[in-house]
Amino acid sequence: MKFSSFVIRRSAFAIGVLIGVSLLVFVITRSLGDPVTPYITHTTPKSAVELIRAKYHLDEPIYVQYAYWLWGLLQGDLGLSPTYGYAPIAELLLTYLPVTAELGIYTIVISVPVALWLGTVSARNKDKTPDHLSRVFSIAGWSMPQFVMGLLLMYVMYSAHLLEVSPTFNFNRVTGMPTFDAILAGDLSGFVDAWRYLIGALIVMVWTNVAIMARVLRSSLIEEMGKDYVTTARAKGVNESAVMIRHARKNALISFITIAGVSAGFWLSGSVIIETVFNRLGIGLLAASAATHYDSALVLGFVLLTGVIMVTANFIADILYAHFDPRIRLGE
Amino acid sequence: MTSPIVTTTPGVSSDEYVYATDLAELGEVDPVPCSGDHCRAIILNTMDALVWYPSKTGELKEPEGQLADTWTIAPDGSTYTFHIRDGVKFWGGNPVTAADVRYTFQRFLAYNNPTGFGWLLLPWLTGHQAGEYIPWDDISKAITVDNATNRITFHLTVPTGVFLSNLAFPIFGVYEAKYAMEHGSYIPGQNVTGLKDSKMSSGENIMGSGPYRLTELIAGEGYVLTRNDNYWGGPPKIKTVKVLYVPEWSTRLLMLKRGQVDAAAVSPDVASQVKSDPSLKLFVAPNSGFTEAIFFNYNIPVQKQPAGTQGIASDWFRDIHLRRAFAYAFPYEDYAKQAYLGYAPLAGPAGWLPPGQLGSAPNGYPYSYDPAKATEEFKLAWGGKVWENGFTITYGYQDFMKGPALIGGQLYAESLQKINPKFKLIPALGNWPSFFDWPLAMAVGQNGPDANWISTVYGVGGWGTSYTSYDNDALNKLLVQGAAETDTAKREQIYTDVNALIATDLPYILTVYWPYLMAELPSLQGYVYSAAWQIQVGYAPYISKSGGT
Repeated sequence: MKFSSFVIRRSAFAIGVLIGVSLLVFVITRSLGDPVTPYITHTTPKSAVELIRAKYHLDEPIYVQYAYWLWGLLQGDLGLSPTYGYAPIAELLLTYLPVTAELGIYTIVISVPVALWLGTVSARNKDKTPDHLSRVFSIAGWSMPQFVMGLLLMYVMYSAHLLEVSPTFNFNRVTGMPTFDAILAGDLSGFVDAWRYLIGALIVMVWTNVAIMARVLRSSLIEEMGKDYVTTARAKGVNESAVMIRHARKNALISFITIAGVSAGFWLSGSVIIETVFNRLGIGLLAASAATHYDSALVLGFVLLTGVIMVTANFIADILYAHFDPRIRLGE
Repeated sequence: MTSPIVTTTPGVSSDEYVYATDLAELGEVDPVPCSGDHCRAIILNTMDALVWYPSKTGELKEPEGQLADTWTIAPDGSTYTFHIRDGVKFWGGNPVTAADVRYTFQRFLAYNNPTGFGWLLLPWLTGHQAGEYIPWDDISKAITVDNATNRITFHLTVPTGVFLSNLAFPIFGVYEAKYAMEHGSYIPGQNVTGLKDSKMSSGENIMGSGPYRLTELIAGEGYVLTRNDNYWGGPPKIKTVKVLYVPEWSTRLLMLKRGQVDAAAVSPDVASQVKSDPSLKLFVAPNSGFTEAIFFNYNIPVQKQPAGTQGIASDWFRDIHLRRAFAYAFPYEDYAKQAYLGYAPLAGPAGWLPPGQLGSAPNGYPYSYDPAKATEEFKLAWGGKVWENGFTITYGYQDFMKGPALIGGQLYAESLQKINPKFKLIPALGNWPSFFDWPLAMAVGQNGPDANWISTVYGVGGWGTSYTSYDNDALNKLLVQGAAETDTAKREQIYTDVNALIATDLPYILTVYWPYLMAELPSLQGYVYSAAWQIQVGYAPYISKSGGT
């Protein structure tokens, strides 16, 4: 299939997925509790509550409410968030997204090569010391809850001034990602401060994700190394390193790409726990705040945004599949 | 705009006050729709009001003049005339005039936003209710000015003695009319009912005259106030006030210990960590301005109850014996100890209005934990049927009260079971206002600064009675009289009668006054929490720091 057809087909599919997800979340959020809750306070008299209900169409049938929401979305209006002082939701998401995206980008850039290396080293040295060390690293990473890891790092690194939780930056906000904005401004000390704001959260994210990805790659690699084509390559005199990296690993990458693709989507959608512990005001925290305040409009905005991110991540994963495995053609 | 907001310098400097809050609702500055803590804090610190509660030591006395230096009240309470103090200027340099004050209040009436506190004025100024469209004629007649003498007069359609106290609530900060209009805000005469002014919300169009001005606001992150060096009352000691949203307690504690913030919000369950740390101080205000109560539902929608509910009818709580039984069955002291670790004073015996306040009664709530009396009353309730048949009912609470309310529910359930094993109480999390559909609901309501706030809970039209369907004609009449009366001694007597009636009729179960707790560095001086303001960060001009970096 041609690439352009693939893109069109996947885009149409993505829109369908997003509508389906948004409808499901819309129905759930409007059904759980009273949707007027975020718009009122405890001193709002009952008569005024009914006026507010009518104003935001909350007294209409649910399909009518959804239609209003969808119509607003098509005009670029995701509504207002009562939790954040009736700020426009689109604006809130754009304000909070860069902090999450920054952490997500660094997590991807660091986790993927580290996991590739670690998984390969573990597979090559199966049941030897490097494999055992890798196993300990991985088990520690995936068995320790992120908030425990985060709090421990906070106590150690914050007290040692290696980490910041609420820094001031003297450069202008361009991307909203402090490390990138510092580079753009040529501000070295700002760059250092930005890294001190990032490093704790990044350690937790990288550790927990490398732990999983490295083990997946190790298992896939060991499986590939037992196959006939590897035996043939060895018989032809190809050295072990080349066998593993040039032959086996390419085929083992399919599972790795699956995990990395899905994880990347989650990393870019924000982790509530990480953002709360390290005081990174990103979209994960925004979403948690929206949920606890029954701010269904903000929850929907978040769902839509993460839907777009996940769909994009899956799209990139599909392209990578086709690249690494010629047996997989786009759209097939 | 640079982001985020707060300093990395190890230790806050002595001309800076930094507060770490656990409240997310940062993002709205417009006084009209304002209801939350942060917008009230910004208004109090950046916009002077006609009158206010100085509360220098946290006490609640009569309101005092801020922009107004003198005022007269008609003997029947139908007009309030204020003279605007000479020499007060907005930050931009223009003088504050009666016309600016008028514009401020006209905006309240014109937008009539039901989420805000405009209802403190509406019923008396215009006779309209929150959320309704108010015709321009009614708005213009309600507030008039005499530019020659710089006086403003409020003409009440319903005379009241509480108008002055309501004006002093930290919502009615004044801003410059010309600046607002020139930058796209409301033009008098426009129909803006139900609309939003985004430039006012962000603070862009607000030109106040207060001791600080808002220089940075990032929705959901925090805000910065910078000192007005030309403030008519004298510039404050602290140059910069920074409030930042830090949701996680352990992070707030670390920031305090490192001196990165001066003060931080604390919940009772972690207060011991502050008390045991010699580098920190625990500030406790026993009354945050809120009374907590368990509300009886007088018109229970039986069909909306969870599965398993039994033994009730829609008018179940109309039986006074049943209400008394529930009141005697609640373990008040155990609850206050376990849920609030002793930081919350019991609301009995003084009643809804806390001790020391006009309207507070020495025996306003004469119920204490007494299982024997509870048993007696249960046996009398509904001719003995309640005792015989038992019941299974839901007790609702909201997420933000989860900790204490769940403890209260569990203690209550155990107490009822001990009285009669057929009595089952099921605590359940709900949200406002639908959890009032259940037979019992725990909630909080404001208890001041004026006695009339009791009407929001017990009077017709108040949120308390509108959700619980409680109604008592005699009580309503007294509350209306109390609101209308301008003589303090007579009001005192009226509220004594109100409390006597409440004590007899027992509309709700009163548990505690909500405390406010804060952890602070010892270098912070002058911090005051006032139940009249109900804001975490306090009034910054009172604050100074000793030592510092």
